[in-house]
Amino acid sequence: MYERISACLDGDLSRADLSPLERVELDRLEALLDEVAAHLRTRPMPDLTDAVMSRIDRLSPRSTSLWAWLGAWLWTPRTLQLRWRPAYAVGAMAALALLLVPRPAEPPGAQPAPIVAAAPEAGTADPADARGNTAPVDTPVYVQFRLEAAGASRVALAGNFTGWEPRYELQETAPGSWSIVLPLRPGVHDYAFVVDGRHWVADPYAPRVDDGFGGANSRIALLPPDAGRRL
Amino acid sequence: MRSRHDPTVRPLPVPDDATLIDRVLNGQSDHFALLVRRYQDALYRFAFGMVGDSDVAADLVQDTFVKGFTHLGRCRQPARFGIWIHQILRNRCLDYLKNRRRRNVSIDDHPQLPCERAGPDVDLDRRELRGAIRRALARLPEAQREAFLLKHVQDLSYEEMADLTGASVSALKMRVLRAREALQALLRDESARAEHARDADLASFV
Repeated sequence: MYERISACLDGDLSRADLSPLERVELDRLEALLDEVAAHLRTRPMPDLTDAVMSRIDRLSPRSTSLWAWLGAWLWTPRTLQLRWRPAYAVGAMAALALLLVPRPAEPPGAQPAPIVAAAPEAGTADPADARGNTAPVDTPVYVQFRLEAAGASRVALAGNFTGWEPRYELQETAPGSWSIVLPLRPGVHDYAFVVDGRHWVADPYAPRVDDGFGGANSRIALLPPDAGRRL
Repeated sequence: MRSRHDPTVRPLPVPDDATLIDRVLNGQSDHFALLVRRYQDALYRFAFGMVGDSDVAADLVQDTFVKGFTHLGRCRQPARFGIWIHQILRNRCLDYLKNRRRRNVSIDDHPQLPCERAGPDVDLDRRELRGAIRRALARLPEAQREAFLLKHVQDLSYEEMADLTGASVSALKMRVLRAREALQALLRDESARAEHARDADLASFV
């Protein structure tokens, strides 16, 4: 019976299709739903406009010059709240010690880091292939990012490696064809192109991942340059 | 000179979401205030329904608008800003509830809200009912609570709900059905408990 009443509430069943008993139950349920909705709709609503806009004003340096804003930002005293766990400090010290251990010198004739395309062919950049590597993994890999965007006047690149700021401007190497080569650390990187400062566009030739805003970013996985030699 | 009551003077058309977003992206950030005014009540209602605390709901809505402003360039369908900003709020509410679960804070640990406190001008039955509704909503599983609020408080269609949550229409219908059923049962229990408490009070006077 409950399914039929619910179907009637959802408009999938007409009230005339219900039995008299079901109609009584429907009226009771509608009254209850009205009461619950009214409980939330009639609450006093705070006006958050001023609070939101003042936070936005603090974020946005548009009203003043960049240098003035930077100066004010550097000079404004701030309260720093620090909560830490000693276990993290031990971990950080261990990581620091590892970094300070002298590394073997690069053998003569070492090859420069290769340039790879931003959207590699499937299977060529699986990070799982690099398991067991013992060489340092922070040697950069030069990656070429390309986008066909006819009519664009500006194309930039943003990614988790830029804190999602569209920091790198692509060059228009041919009409409508934009490109840049960047050194990136081996690993998995998410990125997107920003066309004319406002349109976020995923790389049509790279795997896509949800960006959390209803759109998609692109993902690239980079092996260390010498991973193939060490397999 | 025309007065403001002159029938030939028409009010300026209210700019739609896409127009406002375009202005904000072109540097007129103060126009974002119109979007805040347009959507804050609906967002606050949803947030309050989800977390059951008015201060937390207001904070979540503020954070949502600030995040929406800083990521406005990523709103790919400006005409559907309402759904987009709702998605951001939904994610913030779910994160908040996840953290609250981790801290093991119950909904009943929150202080009673001012309008739910006893007062001479408040009808006792209504106050009881409000408290009961709040507790019943809080006891619904999150997915059911969310579906119920979107359907019956935000008045969204099932298609809009599917767009917002990523769930299918049939799954959402089932969640709403279960939520209605559970709410009815929970409120019936609350009512029986209140009746029992009243009888016990009465008996203590006899």
